Amino acid sequence: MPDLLTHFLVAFLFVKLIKIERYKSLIYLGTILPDILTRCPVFAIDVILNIREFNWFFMPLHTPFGILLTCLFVTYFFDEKSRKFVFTNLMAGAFLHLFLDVLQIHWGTAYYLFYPFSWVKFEIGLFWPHQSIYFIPVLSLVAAVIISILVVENGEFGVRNRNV
Amino acid sequence: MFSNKYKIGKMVLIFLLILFLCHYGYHKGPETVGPELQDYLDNAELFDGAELVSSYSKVGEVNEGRFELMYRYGDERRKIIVIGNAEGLEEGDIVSVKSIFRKDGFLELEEIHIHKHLYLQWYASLLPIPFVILFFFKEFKFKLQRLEFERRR
Repeated sequence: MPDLLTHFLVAFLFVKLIKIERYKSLIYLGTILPDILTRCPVFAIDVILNIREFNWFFMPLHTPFGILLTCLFVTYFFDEKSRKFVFTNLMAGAFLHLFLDVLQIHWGTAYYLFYPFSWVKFEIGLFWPHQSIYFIPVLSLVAAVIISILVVENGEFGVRNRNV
Repeated sequence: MFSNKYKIGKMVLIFLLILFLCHYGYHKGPETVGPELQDYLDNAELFDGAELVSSYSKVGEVNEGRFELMYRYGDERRKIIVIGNAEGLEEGDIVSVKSIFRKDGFLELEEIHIHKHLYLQWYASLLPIPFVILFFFKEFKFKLQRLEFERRR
């Protein structure tokens, strides 16, 4: 996986470029969700309980079908009229995450995109997972430029309210 | 699909489906991966000359033309010698290795990738979590009586 900061910054740029205003926090949530659902419990079970091989239990939550079901489940914790937008934005964030993930190189492991229908592994292999940290300065700079433009032009982040 | 009709029933059904997916992955997953290093060592004659791929293994002692690769055997940590030169390799590095297994119990290096600054990835992964929580609760509030999140006006 690229680090979550890279995932978050890419989602932030996606939200700003597509100009999504409503329910945008769910795209951010969706973009960290696959790793939160898989890495955190595996790490906790491995370190705290010293039980290995549990990565296979949580692996399906890092697949398109698994994340679709998870987003659907999470959606029902929102009010009825919001659910369609909640589900769409959670899925957009999660699929943005999976898209970045398949760009990576792994030896021996890869992503089961077609689980549970097939165990075929797939990845494009453009960069190693740890190399994503080199993208952070560039992505942060682009994000900072966008924020500055928005603040100056639209008064976003509260500037307009103070001036009115 | 997203209506409140049969809401609890739909949630239970989706949860059971997720549980089934996880259960299937837990039982079927290990069968889909190839033999591990310990299997190679236990059947050395059979696997002599076969390629072995190790991902995210820790490097032990590094010497000229060889280094040690740590691997897990149950709860135990063991080492195997890898013959070959790797530029910039240091003890404690995390590496992915493609190698040829030899029946005498060592590996011949084919390709190696050193995962430099791997720990930075973990730190960078913790950073956005508070921001995501902040953005979420800036946009949504929790209605305790209905047990649902609702968008703030």
